[in-house]
Amino acid sequence: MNREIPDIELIYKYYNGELDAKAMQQLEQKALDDPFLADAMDGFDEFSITKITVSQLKRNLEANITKRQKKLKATWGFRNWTVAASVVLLIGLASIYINQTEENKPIQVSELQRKAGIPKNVMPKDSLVERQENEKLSIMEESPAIVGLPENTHRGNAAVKKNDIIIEPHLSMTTYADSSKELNEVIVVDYSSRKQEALAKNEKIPAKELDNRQIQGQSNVLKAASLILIKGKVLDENGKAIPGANVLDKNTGAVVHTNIKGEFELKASEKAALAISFLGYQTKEIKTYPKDSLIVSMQPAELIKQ
Amino acid sequence: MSTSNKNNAVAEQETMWIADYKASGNLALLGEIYQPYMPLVYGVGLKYLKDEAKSKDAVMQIFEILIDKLKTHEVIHFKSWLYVLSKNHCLMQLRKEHKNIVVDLNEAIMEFEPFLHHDNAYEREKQLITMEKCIKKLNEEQKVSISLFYLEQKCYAEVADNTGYDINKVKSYIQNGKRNLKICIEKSSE
Repeated sequence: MNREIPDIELIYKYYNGELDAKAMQQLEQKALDDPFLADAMDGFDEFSITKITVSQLKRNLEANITKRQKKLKATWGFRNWTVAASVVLLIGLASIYINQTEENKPIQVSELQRKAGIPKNVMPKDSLVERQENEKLSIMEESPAIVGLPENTHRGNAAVKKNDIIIEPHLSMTTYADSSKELNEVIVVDYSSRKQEALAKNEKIPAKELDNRQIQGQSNVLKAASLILIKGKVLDENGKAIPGANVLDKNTGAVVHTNIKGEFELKASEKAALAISFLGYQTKEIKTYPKDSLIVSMQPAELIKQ
Repeated sequence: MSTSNKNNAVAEQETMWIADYKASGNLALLGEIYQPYMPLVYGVGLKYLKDEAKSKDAVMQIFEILIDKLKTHEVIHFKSWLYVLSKNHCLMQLRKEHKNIVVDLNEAIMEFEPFLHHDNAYEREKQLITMEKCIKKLNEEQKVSISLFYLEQKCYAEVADNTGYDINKVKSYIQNGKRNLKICIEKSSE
């Protein structure tokens, strides 16, 4: 049997007498070779085949297919609904979660700060931390470390007046990066003496409260103080001062020049990046840390080969 | 040759679609495969069931059989398979209805192959000679009808006009004559 699908149009025409004799013979011959077609044509001989019938068959087929597909979807759909429901539920939960975290963010941050603050409040007991804090403080200009406390203008004087809560000025404003040991001693002495005094005088100022006030002040300083004064000296390869060298703060873009002794002063953030340059020398880039002694020795630039 | 190529292309696409349907169970695809054969299935239904409504039902029932059977059966030649399936379905239905209809197991049910399928000119010539001999062996009605139909390519109606035979007789003569020819040619080539 050949595999050709007979042309139904040809069959209509055959039965409507629209075909010429040759086309009819061809279809008849096909039928002789194709028992399927032959049987069908036997049927059509007896009854008829019309376009209406065939289109009706097509409609039936389409209706049957859609009916079955719907059935398939109905059984299938139940599972889909559960899946869809769980997806919706998940999305809902996720959106609730996301909304919540957004609302909670500031709270969490402040909580973090509070948590971070707690150790600070405790730290004064730890002399090391205190020292570190004070060191930082000491090199800050216009340190408001004594916020809320009457300022004692007596320089380097550990004497404390009665009934006054006095904090020893940590350092004079001009002793920025001076020995911190001395400073620490001052603080510690001052602190203990104050404490002692408080005890002696029955001022009933809990040491802790005092500490808190002090620390609060300090942390305020830390937050506020972004600039420190950096002092340094620029020397050449032989240890001689280089006057007039450029010192650039890469963060702020501020430029200063060294004086005749090769010294410079620069207000910069605690961890500044400086670039020191001078004609004929290699530009030197350094990062400063508080308390760094900035003695920069410059290397002469390599001669340009000709 | 071009028609046989086209037939092959159609058959290949059909085979591909059937494989796709087996994999996907896509009913729309099955509809595409089945649709071109629907008039034929309907015709087969008409032939055996002798009822238009029943034939239409049979077309749908056979489609429903296809839905399952095509998934499980290895179908190589869809058209032949569908023909046998359709015919069996109709015969089964007749049996269910307890109607003792005498099914005319005529030549149309038997498979026919075009007997001139060799391209080789020599073979063809030899076969033509054999065929001529065989045609002479046929009875008069068959010989005349076959000659007119195949050699002069006249349609049944023309053959009937030329010979004065009844058109249904002409059809029968040609079918029987063709079968006898085939037998004769097969015998003589052995």
